[in-house]
Amino acid sequence: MAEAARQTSGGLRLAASGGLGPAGEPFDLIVVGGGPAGLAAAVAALESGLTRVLLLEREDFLGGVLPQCVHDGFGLHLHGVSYTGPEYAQLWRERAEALGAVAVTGTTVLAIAGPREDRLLVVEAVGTRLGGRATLLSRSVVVATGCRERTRGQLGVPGTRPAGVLTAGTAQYMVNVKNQLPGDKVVVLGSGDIGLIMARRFKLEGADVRLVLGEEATGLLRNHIRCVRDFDIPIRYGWGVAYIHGYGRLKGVTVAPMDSSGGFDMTRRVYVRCNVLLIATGLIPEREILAGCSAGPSEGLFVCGNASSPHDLVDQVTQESLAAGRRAAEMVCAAAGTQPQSLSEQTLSLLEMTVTEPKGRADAGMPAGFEWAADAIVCTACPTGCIMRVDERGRVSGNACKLGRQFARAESSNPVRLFTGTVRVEGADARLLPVKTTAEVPRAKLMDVARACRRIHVQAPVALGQVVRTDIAGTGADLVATQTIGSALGLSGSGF
Amino acid sequence: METTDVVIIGAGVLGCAVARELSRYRLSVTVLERAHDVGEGSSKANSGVLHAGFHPRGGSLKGRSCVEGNALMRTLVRELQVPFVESGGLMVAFHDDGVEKLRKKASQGRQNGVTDLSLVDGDAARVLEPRLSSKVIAALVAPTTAVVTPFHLVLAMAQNAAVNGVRFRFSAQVERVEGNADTGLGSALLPAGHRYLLHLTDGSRLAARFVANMAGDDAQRLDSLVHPADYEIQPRLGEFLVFDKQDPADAVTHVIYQAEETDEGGTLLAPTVEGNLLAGPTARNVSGFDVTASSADGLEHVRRVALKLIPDLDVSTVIANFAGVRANITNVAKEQKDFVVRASAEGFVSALGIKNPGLTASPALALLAIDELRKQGLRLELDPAFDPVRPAHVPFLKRPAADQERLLQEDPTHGHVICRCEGVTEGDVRAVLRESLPPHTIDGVKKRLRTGMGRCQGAFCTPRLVATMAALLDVPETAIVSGERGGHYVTRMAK
Ligand SMILES: Cc1cc2nc3c(=O)[nH]c(=O)nc-3n(C[C@H](O)[C@H](O)[C@H](O)COP(=O)(O)OP(=O)(O)OC[C@H]3O[C@@H](n4cnc5c(N)ncnc54)[C@H](O)[C@@H]3O)c2cc1C
Repeated sequence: MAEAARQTSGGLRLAASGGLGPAGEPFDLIVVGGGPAGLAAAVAALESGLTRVLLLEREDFLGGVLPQCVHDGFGLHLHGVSYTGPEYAQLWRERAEALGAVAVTGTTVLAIAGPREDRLLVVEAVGTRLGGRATLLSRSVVVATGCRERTRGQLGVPGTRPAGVLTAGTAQYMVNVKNQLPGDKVVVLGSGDIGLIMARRFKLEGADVRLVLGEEATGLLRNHIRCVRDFDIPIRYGWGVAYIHGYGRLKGVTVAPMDSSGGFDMTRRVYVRCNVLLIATGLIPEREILAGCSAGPSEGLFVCGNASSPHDLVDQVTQESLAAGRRAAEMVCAAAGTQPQSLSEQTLSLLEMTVTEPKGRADAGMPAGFEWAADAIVCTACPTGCIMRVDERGRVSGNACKLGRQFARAESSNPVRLFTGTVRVEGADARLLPVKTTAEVPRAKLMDVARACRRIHVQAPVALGQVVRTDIAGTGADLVATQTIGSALGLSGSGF
Repeated sequence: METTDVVIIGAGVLGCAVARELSRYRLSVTVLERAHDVGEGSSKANSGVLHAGFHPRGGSLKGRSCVEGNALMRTLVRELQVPFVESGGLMVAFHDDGVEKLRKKASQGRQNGVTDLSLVDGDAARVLEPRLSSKVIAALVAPTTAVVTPFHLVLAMAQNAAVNGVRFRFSAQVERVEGNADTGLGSALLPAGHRYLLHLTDGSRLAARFVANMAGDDAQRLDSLVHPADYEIQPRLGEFLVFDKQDPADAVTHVIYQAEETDEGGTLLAPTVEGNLLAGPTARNVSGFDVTASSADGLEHVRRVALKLIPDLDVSTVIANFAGVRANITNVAKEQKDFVVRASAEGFVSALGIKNPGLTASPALALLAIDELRKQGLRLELDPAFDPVRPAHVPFLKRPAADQERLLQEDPTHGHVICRCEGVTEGDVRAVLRESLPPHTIDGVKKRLRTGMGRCQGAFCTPRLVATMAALLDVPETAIVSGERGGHYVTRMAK
């Protein structure tokens, strides 16, 4: 059943979609990677009037890393809404689908070569739904393959090689998608956003997050507040993992302050018992499929999103990728002597917006090892992260907007937070359904909501926005699905 | 009582070489291995270099068996379809006394039977290996130096032995060996002709006519049960760095040794069969054979030597580090130290202190061990049914198109990529889980298919692999362990 459904969401659709024209005819555009970058590129190309656009994705679902990023904070700049990852992914999946995009999931691109003499690019792919291995030809290619994470091996951490040492993104995939917990006593190496967010996820799943270590204070301030400070998780800047202990299973790590030469001051080392070490020390653009390819933009090859360089915000990825899809279309049209159609109003307005670099970064002017002033309030209403104060008379300073003032007042009396998490889902290929509360709930109640979530089972199909529980944990807020999950249709569930 | 003609203790490269060689004959052979898989000892974590044979002292067993093993290996890798690269080797000198050392090595090599060594100057060496340091003034060129993936060699020998009737028992640790009254080593009552009774730690027992003690780190203890203890063997650790796949355009293609180093610590650079570059090992005494942790100093040493040899090496492309432990004889002077392969008692042969170049020498040492047993009365009658060929598992993505089409028809999961760095599909995983001597752990699959050995170090594939293994083995995901020493990848379901 699941197998048959998957077929419909992949290969059959490809075969049935007459819009692609005769087999063997080259594509106008092949988009490699179905994350936010690939989806946006496909949207822009389709709006520009390209008809033979094919999107290839190695996972069984579209959305890239977003479906595993169940927290919120996506799309604020472009859409003015703080979406969760799954919501943002679904938004773009549906836009692409509405334009008739054709995607083949479960398909891995092995290499891109060319241009050939006839100026076509060659895409080598393999996937069950593609009917095995295929050599596809295209007039243009957008590479939107995202990033991989730096690993322990690349950091050169000495010691043993036990289970329990894993990259934060892998842990995120396990916990948020696969419902697998790799352990329950956690140390996080890396205080960037991914590290901080995973510290909170493990905490909400009931694990003991013992320490977060960061070479320097990086990551958005709001993540420091909402992921670490809210949960009283100890964090140390300027410290790193100097040694990994335990055979078989991770037993602990030796942590120590780093000296100026990049080594450790082992006289101040501390042993921390743990069974999970999350490595969250950076992302590396994944472009190895281009190793044998000499093409660049003028030959119709574009790289966008995190595959071009790691971006802080998905908004930037979307903009860059809309532009890449547009450029691909312009190139293909120029070669054919035609004019691209103009982009939709909506897309044009997205392209015109300015996405500001978030200034609320922990490294913005703050020395390593800084302590928060006890009365400082960091605005988490948006990624900007203004640092504010409220005086005895309730006057707010340091805010940049009205939202900030409201936030500061609430924060000084009754701090509230949006809850994001997952619940079990049955009757679908997916194991977990991402959820959030419809309103912010008292910070003190976050753990109660998380505990309540562990007892909830939902039956598929579920639609985005569907109420899963009313008045969750007595907070007055409802718990709603942040993703549509069909019955045994694959994680995307959108039938495409 | 369970009986067998020959018992082999240990399924390392040596035990498996003996098993494969004995599987030519009409004999019942049983391999007893402490671990859950073959090749879990020294044979797993080493440089994978098939040395030419100029390192060991001239005329020593080490030297002769290395040269002979290197030659035998060529037939072996062909019959067993083990990927193997004839990289050639360079031993380089940075100073005049280094050049002196190269001359000495050349003459040692000749004594051991290496016939094609030549001494060249620095420029000629850089023609062979363009990125070699400009400070290198001379090099000894050894055309027969080659590289192999150690685990694949061990597995191939074991699988071929198994197909030809050798029995493998895993999780079978020999606790002690008892002789019958004739041997003067006990009073076990055994079926006629069976001299030895092997007691396993799980309480089971096995009677054998002959014993081949190839137990690596434990070989000395077992030997001392039948022979006055004469050797002291201590663990000596070697650490390595693994570099990402090299760009074929400027890849380091030779095994590069340096003359200044002692043979022992000889940190070298070796291209691997899969296209990575390996740097190591170090040499450090450790407290046990199970101490395989790498140290900051050790890794730093390896980095330094690697950069000394190839100054423009990009150390930021290191993707992993690992360590292995050698069985080092400590109570013999360095100049006299050698491999020991001997009949320690009637019908009982032991191999002791088999460290570098034990991998290379293994086919020759296996012949020697078997010859010792023959002298003790083992009858070697060729089995006409012996099949020397082991078909290797060829990963789906490396197969010709026609094959791929057929496989996809049989099992569509062949088209589903699980490990993107090394190009492994779900069908490959299914295939190795079904083949002879299958893996049971994540590491077991990794050793066979390289899942998780690439640049992402398992970040992408491991959760997928765990799910696939659990489904195929019909166990919960929480039952899948990482390696030989346990370590559950998923400790529990999150909710
Ligand atoms: C760092 C390093 C680098 C090296 N590099 C090279 C190289 O480049 N080239 C080369 O030729 N050689 C190299 N070597 C040497 C080579 O790896 C070894 O000589 C070889 O692997 C030894 O094989 P073995 O079968 O004797 O021992 P092992 O591989 O240790 O096998 C012994 C087996 O016996 C089992 N066992 C032990 N006790 C018992 C018991 N009581 N009951 C049942 N089973 C038991 C163990 O579990 C193990 O599987 C290197 C070694 C190291 C450590």
